[in-house]
Amino acid sequence: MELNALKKMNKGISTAKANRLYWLGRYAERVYLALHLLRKHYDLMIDEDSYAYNDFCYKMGVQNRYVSGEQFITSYLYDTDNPDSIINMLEKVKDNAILLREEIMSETLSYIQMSIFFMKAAKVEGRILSELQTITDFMLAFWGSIDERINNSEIRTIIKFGKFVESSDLHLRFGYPLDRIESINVRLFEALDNNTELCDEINLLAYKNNMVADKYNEPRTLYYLNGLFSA
Amino acid sequence: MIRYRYKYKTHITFSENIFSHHFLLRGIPMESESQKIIQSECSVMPGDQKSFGLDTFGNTVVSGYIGEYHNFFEFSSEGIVDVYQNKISEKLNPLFLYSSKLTQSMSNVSEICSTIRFSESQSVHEKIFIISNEISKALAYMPGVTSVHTSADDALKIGKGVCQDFAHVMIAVCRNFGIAARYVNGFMEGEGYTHAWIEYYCKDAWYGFDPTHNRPADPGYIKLAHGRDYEDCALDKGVFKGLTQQKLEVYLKVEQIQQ
Amino acid sequence: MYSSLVKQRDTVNRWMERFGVRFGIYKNGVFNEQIFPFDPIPRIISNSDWKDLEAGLIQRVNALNKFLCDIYNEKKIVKAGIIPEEFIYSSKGYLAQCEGITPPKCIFSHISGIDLVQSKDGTWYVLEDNLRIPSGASYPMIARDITRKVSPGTFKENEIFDNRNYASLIRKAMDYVNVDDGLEVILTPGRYNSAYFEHSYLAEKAGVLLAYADDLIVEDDIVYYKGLFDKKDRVGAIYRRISDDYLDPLAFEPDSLLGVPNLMRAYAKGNVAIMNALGNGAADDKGLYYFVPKMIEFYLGEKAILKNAPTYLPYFENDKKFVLKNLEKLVIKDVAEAGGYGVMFGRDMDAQRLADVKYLIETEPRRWIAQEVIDFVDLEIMEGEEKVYRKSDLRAFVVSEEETHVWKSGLTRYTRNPASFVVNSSQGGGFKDTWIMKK
Repeated sequence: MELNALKKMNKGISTAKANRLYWLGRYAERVYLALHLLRKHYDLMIDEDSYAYNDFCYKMGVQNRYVSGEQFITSYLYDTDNPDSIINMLEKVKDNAILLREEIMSETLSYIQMSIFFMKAAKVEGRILSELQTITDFMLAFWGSIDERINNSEIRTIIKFGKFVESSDLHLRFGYPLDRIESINVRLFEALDNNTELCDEINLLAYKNNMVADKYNEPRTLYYLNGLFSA
Repeated sequence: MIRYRYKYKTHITFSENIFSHHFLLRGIPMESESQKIIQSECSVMPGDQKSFGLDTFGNTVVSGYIGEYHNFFEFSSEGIVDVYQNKISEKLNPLFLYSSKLTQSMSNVSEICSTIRFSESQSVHEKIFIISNEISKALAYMPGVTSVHTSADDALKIGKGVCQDFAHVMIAVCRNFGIAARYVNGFMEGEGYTHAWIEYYCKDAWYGFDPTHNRPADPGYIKLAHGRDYEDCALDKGVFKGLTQQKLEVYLKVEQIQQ
Repeated sequence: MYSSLVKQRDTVNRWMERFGVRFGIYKNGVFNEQIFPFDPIPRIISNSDWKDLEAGLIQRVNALNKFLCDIYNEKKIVKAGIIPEEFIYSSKGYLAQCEGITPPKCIFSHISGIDLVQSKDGTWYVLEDNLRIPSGASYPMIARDITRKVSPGTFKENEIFDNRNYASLIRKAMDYVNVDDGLEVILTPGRYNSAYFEHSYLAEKAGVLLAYADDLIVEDDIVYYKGLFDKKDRVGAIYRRISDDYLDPLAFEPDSLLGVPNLMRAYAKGNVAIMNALGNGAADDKGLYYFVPKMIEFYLGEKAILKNAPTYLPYFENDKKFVLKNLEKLVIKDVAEAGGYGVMFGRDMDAQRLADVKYLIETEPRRWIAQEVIDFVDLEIMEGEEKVYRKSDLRAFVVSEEETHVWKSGLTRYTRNPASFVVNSSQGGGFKDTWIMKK
């Protein structure tokens, strides 16, 4: 194998690329967390509340287009015509990732590719939710590959920015307590490493200002959070 | 020799702000045997960020970029030019013998060519007058019917056009008869708009001819740029971002100066 | 020597899927990404065969580069009466806008894709030169990466040149022509281009940026990469995967959204290297192909090592007579078309069609070339569990920097349709790895 003794690094992040990186992080995290949250609600649906998916849809902020728990699970996982489905989330991850191959590397991209293949096969084979642990494994491998393969810290930062914004967003929506949100914020700010140029300053101040017990679960907090990234 | 003063200004007003605006302009007279530039100045607004260069045909081009939002664009060019005889001695670039995108010889061009008969003894100059007479019959001057993308063949089909179409048809016919010809952009004496005519090659020199007025391009013509057809030497091209309506105003004044 | 690859071809294909080895195709206006079918049986080229090919390819590309430099400047070959000027000026690929421009280091064709076929007697013939944007090298490159993983034994037993250095060859070519040590980018029209996989894979492997038209900007005749927060980095070399017509809306096709406005101004001033150079179409036109052996003699004073397929130019009276008389035996090609389009076999035409084509040749002689049909060797491919023989060709990649190198591999394409002679990927063919043996 030939080792390249390269004279220089060709580094650069255009606005369009920054946006793709950010959304790559968001969608990838959304897939991972949606599966996680789905498992929790599915557990309730077994013997406690067969309509727990109504609550899931409400919190997730997606249209409740389902008639039964069973139909919800199939459609929400596999239906390519359902804009909110996990398979479509994965397609969105891929849409961004495929445009970033040279930054995230083919190996990283391949976990997304494999997730999509797995989902398509799982739909045909009628697999149940627990078997989608493979997707969770692939997503964890995807995040591992990002840390392992991407040398450019700016690139990593923007993906992580997206990841933690999404994480905080979903945790807020699903009513997690303040300390959980704050621990995600710590990771977000760590990832940014004081690189606040990527942040909208006013939204950042407002978001931080809202991190108190009586305000953090206001809808406005989500608004500030979603306005943090500015490239 | 006649000395002219020219003042040329184009002003584009955009109804909405635009940005990321690249432009490429050719609005500066060309130095040649038949034309000497005594004085020349130009400016671009807003910003006046511009660079100069020569394109492959030797035309001066002014290019630049305006990144910020703006709602107008103005180019002005003014100066003094001495115009000599209507002849530019030059070695022939064979390129001008071959058809280009807008001067391709299709059925309508072939048809007009078939109506033209030359005799052996006629000089190129005589042939040019014969061709131009024939074009005057085939094409009527009428603005607003054709566009900058109209080819010679299409203009003939429509039977109407402006100076650009007359020039394209003339060039297509000339090249069909083996006479090298090229497209010329420039100013005419008086007040009004920019004009287009042609140059044809005879022996060792180019001669200007104005098919729209069916006469030699002399006197009263100041040449800016030339090429195979309009596309090689368009006076102002630009691309920008933003949705907008644009309004173009052109001011041109060319007058003789007494010496 | 490759039986283990045949056995493990499903594993190989799974790896290909995993890496998204695909090419895009438009069918009825809808974009689809398809798997590019991979056949596990490699094309094997012996070392002695390769040495001849290599020498011939280097010679050919050197002459073509000299030709391009000549016709955009002095035109000595026209003045010497070797090529009629008409073949230059009326070639669709000739760009008057490039007259007098000498690209950095005087290289026009940095990456040349030369398409060859081997006849049954073992002779190689050049079918066409691709000097604009030859594509396809990434496929054998990634196929090799995968087959080595899947069947290491195969590569231990056989001594085969590694072909995974293609990206570093490209990178060296970019480094060599780079102006003022600027950034190096691959300019892609985007993911809906048939070769998008290749653009992104090469950017990754060569360590250069993948740029879209919007990422680049020309200011003061210098090209910049637009970064975040108004950061601007000078660009020194652009490996563009956008054709000439769409490269600069202010110089060429005015409606192009894929291009970079005023890129031509920066290029004309020598402020950026563009690979391949603009205007290369003047040399890889099928009409010009006829003259390549003459170019080699003219510029290098050597006899051509590689043969052209026997070609006739109806432009010349004698050739025209021959073509009209022997049309049934010949293949007719439209000089302006590429990718397997505009190719017609005389033997497939009925009387009416023959008459139509004869008329076309009489009325537009410059537009056509005629070639003898070469009886080229068929290669074995796997169809299910069966071995069948199919037509194939070889695209050799030649990279020109300080020296000219031939990549020790190539893209072998084959037809899947047994009756077809056209092996282009846009026409539904597959590909093989190409092994160049060390001994």
